Amino acid sequence: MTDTKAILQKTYDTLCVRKTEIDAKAAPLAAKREKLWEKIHPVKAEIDKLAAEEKAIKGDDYHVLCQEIGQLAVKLGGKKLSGN
Amino acid sequence: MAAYNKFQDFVEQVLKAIHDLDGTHTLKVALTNTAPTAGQTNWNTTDHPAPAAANGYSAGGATTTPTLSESSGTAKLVLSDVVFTASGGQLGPFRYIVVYNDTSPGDNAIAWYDYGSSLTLNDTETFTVDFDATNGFFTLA
Repeated sequence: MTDTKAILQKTYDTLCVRKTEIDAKAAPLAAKREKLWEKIHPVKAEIDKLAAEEKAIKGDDYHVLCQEIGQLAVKLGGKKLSGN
Repeated sequence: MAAYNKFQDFVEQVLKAIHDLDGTHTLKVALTNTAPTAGQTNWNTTDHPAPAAANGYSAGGATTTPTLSESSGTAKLVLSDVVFTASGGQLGPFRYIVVYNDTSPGDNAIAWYDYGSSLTLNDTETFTVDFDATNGFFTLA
């Protein structure tokens, strides 16, 4: 092994040791974080279900309804902001 | 057409999962007479005083309903139009229309429009926020 390669190897080993130490410290927090996400997923699923029910009640034409109301309000003399 | 002005932090917020724009978060349209700045992160009435919560204006503004779709790798968010109607007195003054997420922890701001001049609605007058139904409120590709 040349001197240069030996120096590179030593640096590599040192960095790997440092990374292993950091990973070992962070791992319990990552595990805790994952457990918290597991608690959140069912709640999120429930929220999604409610949102889907809301969407079903409003139906596909809800936007059209709001659009028509807005258009009529303008035709009746109201002011308007057109968002592009 | 009024220009869509993005709050810069919004793009980072999207990647941090702060926004769920498929109908699970409540999006609101608020009015203010104080100019927003692109660097702002959250919507609040301290920085941007809103009209009094009266005469047809609810605290926090009006709810708009989002519809999210995706086609060929481009997501499009369409918002339902909102009509503010002055009722029982004047509503305003206001010039800027801000869309923000009322569900996210910080009421994170998304975008705003400039009407161009201050406006006060007299009793029974209306102000329609006509979002683009074809091209969407915004697209993400």
